Amino acid sequence: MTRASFLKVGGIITAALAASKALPGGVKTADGLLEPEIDRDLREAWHPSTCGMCPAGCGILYRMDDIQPVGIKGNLKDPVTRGALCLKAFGLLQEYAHPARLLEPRERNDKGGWTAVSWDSAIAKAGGWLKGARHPAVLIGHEASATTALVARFAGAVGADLYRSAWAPADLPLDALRQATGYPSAEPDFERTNFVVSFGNDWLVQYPHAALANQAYGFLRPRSGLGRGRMITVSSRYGLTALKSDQWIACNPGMEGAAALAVAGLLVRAGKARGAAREWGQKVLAGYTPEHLSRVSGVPMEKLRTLADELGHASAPLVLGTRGRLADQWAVTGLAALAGGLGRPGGIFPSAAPGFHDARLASAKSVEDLFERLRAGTSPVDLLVIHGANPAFASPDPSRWPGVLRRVPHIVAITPFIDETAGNAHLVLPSALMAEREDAVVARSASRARVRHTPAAIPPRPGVRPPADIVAEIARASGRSDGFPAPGDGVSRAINSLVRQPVPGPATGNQPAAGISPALASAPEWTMPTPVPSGEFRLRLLFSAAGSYGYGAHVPYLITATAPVIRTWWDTVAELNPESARKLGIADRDRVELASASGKITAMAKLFEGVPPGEVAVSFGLGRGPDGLLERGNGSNPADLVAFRREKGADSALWDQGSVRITRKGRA
Amino acid sequence: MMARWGMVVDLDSCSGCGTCVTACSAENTPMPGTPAEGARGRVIRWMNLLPQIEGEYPDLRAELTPMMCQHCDRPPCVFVCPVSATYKNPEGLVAQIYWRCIGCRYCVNACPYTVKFFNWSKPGFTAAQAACANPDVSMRQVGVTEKCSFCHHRLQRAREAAAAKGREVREGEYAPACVEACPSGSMVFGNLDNPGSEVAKLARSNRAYKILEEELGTHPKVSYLKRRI
Amino acid sequence: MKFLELRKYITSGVAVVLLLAAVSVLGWRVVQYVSGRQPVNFPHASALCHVALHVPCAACHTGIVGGTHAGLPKLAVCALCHDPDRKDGPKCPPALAAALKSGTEIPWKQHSRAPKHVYFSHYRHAVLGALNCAECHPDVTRLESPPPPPWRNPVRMAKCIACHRAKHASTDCLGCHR
Repeated sequence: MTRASFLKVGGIITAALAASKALPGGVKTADGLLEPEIDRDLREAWHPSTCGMCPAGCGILYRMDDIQPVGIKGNLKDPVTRGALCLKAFGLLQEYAHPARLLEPRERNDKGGWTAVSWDSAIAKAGGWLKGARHPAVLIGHEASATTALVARFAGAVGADLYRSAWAPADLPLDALRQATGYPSAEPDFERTNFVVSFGNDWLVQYPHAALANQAYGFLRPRSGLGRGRMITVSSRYGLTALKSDQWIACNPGMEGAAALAVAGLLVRAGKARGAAREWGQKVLAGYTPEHLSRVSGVPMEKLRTLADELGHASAPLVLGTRGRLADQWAVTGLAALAGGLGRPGGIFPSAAPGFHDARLASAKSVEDLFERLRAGTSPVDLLVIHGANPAFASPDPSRWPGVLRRVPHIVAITPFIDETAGNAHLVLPSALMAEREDAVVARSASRARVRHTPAAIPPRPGVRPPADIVAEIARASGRSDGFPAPGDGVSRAINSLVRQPVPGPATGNQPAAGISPALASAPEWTMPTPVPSGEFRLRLLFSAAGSYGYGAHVPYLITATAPVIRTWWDTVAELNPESARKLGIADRDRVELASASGKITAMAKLFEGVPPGEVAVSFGLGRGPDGLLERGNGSNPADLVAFRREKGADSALWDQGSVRITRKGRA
Repeated sequence: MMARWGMVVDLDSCSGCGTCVTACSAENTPMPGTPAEGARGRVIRWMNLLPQIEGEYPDLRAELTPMMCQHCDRPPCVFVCPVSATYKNPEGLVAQIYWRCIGCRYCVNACPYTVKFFNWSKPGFTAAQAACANPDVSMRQVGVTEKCSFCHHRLQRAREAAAAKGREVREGEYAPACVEACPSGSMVFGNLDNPGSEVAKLARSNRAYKILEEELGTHPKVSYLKRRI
Repeated sequence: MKFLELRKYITSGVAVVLLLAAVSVLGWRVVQYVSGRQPVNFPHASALCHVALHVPCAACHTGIVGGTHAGLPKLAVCALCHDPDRKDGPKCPPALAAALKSGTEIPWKQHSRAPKHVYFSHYRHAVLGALNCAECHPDVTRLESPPPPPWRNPVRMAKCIACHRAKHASTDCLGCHR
C-alpha cells in the first residue's frame, strides 16, 4: 500500500467514523479476523499490528490520529500474549520517527560517503549485480515473519547461499537441547510452571520473549499469595532475576554449569533421577562428585542438597540455563531431564523452529559459517544481500566483520537504519518496518501458536518499501526470478498462502523422552571452564530486554530503560565489586579501560555490590547515541572484548566471555 | 461522583521490567534526552525504577520500586508554589499547569520523592517525533516543571464519554498508561473513596505501606504492597 | 572616536535593531493572520445551500460529534451529496468538481485553532451542552464569504470562564488544561 493510497483510506476512515461504515483491512489469526477497533465512546481508532522489535511478535494496537500513529497498547484479544507487552513495544513510535531512519536508497560514493539515488536506479544496479553474480549469498536475521520466509525463498530462487544470524546470548541451552531432543528449538512453559530454577540465566531481563517472561512472573506471584510459585537463581552476579527470586545462590564466576552438574549428581545419588537421563547422571557422578563441584563452584553442599531435594519433589520444574559453553549447556539440559522438566507441562518444550516453515530457512547456515567462508577466501562471495542482521555489532568480536566484508565486491543492505553492518555496504535500501507493511508472524508460547496476518497499520514513511517487495524487484531486474513472486500483488498472494499453511508449534507430551536417553548418554564430558589468569577479571556481558537481539538501543526511550539496577544512560558501564575496585584504586564513575586478547574498550566504572570480586559486568547495547547508530566517542561495544570462538556442535559463536585486565584511566 | 484517584503497586509481583517507564514515555512524550543530559542526570522520565541495595556480596537484599508522582493529599510542592501552577484538584490529582509555571523550581526542591522534573533545556524533538506525540498531552517547553499526572488526559476523555451517556465516569473506565501496560498485572488504579473498589481494599491490606508517610505526613495516594519473603 | 559620537552610533544601532525586530514580528503576525481567504469561496449562508437547507454544522465538520477536533471537511464528505457527473443533484461548482475528479483535497485554511495546552471538546459544548456555534464562532449563517481571521476577535480564556461561571460548569484548571 503506498502512502498516497493510505492517505486516501485514512481520510475516509475519519469521515466513516461518523457514518459507521465498515472499515478496510483486518488482522487474521487462526481464530478469525480481528478488525481495526473503534472505541465509539472515546472516539478513538486503533489499528491492530505486530510489534516488530523482536521475533516474539506480540499483538499491539496503534492509536491513530487520522493517519498519524500517536499511541501504543497491547491487544487484549491476542490469543498468545493477551495484551502483555514488554518495554520495547513502547519505543515503536520513536523507531518509526527516528531521525536516523533511512528514507532513500543510497549508494557509496568515491569519497567513502553516501549519495542518494532513485529507487529505479538502485534496483537496476542491484539487479545488474545479481544478474552477473556467480556466487551470491543472502544473510538474514532472526525475525520470524513471512518476510523472512520470502527473503529465504528469494535466495533459493536466485541460487544464492542462505545464512542466518541468531541471538545466542539470551537463548536457552538450545544447542544441547537440540541434540538431546532432536527438535530445533524450545519454549519454556512459564504459564504452567510453579518452580523456576535458573543457572546463570537472567531470564526476567534477557529472555527473548520478554512480554511472556514478565507476564509469567505475575503468575508466579498471585496477589492473594495462594499458589505462589518458587524461584531460585544460581548465578555469580546479583541481577534482576536474582533480586526477584525467593532464593539467590551465589556461585563463583562462570561456575553456574558446575553447580547444575552438582545438583544432577545429588539427584542421582538420592535415587531421584527420572528415567531417561539416569544413565547420563551416573556417568557424571563417576567423573565429578558433587563435593568436588561444590568446591570449584563455591556453592556450599548444604545449599546444593536443599536444591536437589526441592527439584526432586517438584511437579512442574522449569530448569533454565544459557547458551554458553556446550559443556555447561549439557549440564543444565541433563539436569532438566533428570528433574522431569523436559517435554512436560511446566518445563521446557522442544519445538519447531520459530516462524513459518520453509525448506530454505530450515537449511540456512549460520552467519558464522559465512564469516569463515569469507575469511578463508577459497570460496568467494561476489554479491551479498543483507536483511535484518547486524553481525558487525551484535556478535563476539564484531570488529572482525568489516575486514571480511571488504572482500565482497557488491553488498546490498535492506535496512531501516544504516547500522554497523550496513555501513559496509555499497548500496543501502530503506526498508519498511513491520507496522508499515503487510506481513505475518507466528506468535507462540509453550502451549499456543497462532498466525497473525496484518495489513499495513500505519502509513509508511515516504521512501521506504517492504523488504519482500524490494527483493522481488531485484529478482525481477536480474532476470533470475523463476519461482519468486512479482512485487506488489504477487508478494501479497505469497504471504496469504504462507498464512494458510499449518502452523508448526511446540511439541506437547512426552514424545522427546524416548530420544533423550541415547542422546544424553553420548553427550560430551563436562570440562572445567578456562581459569581466569591472576589479576584479571572474568567478563560477564549483560543483555537487557531494551537491547534484545542487539536492536533497540538507538531508541531514546529504550536507552534510558536499559539498566534498571544501575541507573546510567548512554554511557557504557562496567560494574565492579566495591572491594575489587578499591584494590585497583578505582572510584565510582571513574573511566576505566578493559582489555582482553581480542580488543579493548573504555567504560565508566560503577561500583555495584551485586558483582562478585573477580568479575566485571558490562551492559551490551549501550554506547550508541540517540541521533545515530554509529555515533563515536559516546561509548563502546563490549562485544569487542569477547574472542570469536566456535564449538563443534554449536551453531552460533560462543559468547564465552573470557577475562579482561582493568586499568583506571582517570575521572569522567 | 467525586472520586479520589489512587494507585496500588504490588512489589511482590512487580518484575522490575520497566514497561511502565516506557509506556509512560510513549503516552506523555517527555524529552528524548542526549548523552550529555544523561550524564548530568537531567533526563526527564515521569516514572522511574528506584533501586535500593543493602548489604555486601553475597549477603544482599535489594528492591526496585516504581516511583511516580505520589499525588499526595498534603503535597509539599503545592505548599511552596508561588503562582499556583501546581495545585490539588477536587479529585485529589496534583495538577501541573505548564503555562502558569514560572520555573522557580521551589516545587522540585520541596518534593521528597524527587518526582518533579524541570526542563533545563529545550526538549529536542524532531518534527517526525513531534508528529507521533499524543495529541491529548501538551508538549512542555524549556523552563517549566513537569511530572506524572496519573494520565489525567485519559480521565478527561473518559469523563466526556460518560457524559455522552448521561452519567459520571466510573471506575475501570480510566487507567493511566503505566497501569494498563504492566505485563505482570502489578498495578491497580481506581477510586480510593469507594470502599468496595480493588484499589481501596488493597490499600487497606496488611502488606500495604506508603513511602515516607510516617516521616513526613504527605499522605501519598500511591500505596505499595510489600514483597512476601 | 569621542564618546559622544560613539554613543550616537550605539543609540542608532540599537534603534535600528529594535525597528527590525518590530517589523519582523509584526510582519510575521500580518502574514499569519491577514489572509482570511480560503482557496475556494465556500458560502455558508448562500440561499441555495447548506444553512438555508438546515444542513447541520456537524454534517461537514464531522469532528464535532465524531472526533477530537471539529475538523475541516474532506472531499469524501462533499461527495456524499455532490456528484459532478449528475445533472439532477445538488449543484456542483467548478472548483469542487475539479477537486472531486482529481481526488486532490481542497487545502482549507484552519481558521480557529485551540492552543495545544487546552482541552476543548466540541462534543461537550455543541452536542451535550447544546450551545449554538455562534456563541464562540463568527455567525456564519449571515456570511457569504469566509469568516474574518481570528485575530480580530479571538476567544480568550476570560470568555470561557465567564460562561462556565454563569452555567455552573467546572472552573477547575484541570478541566480544560492538560
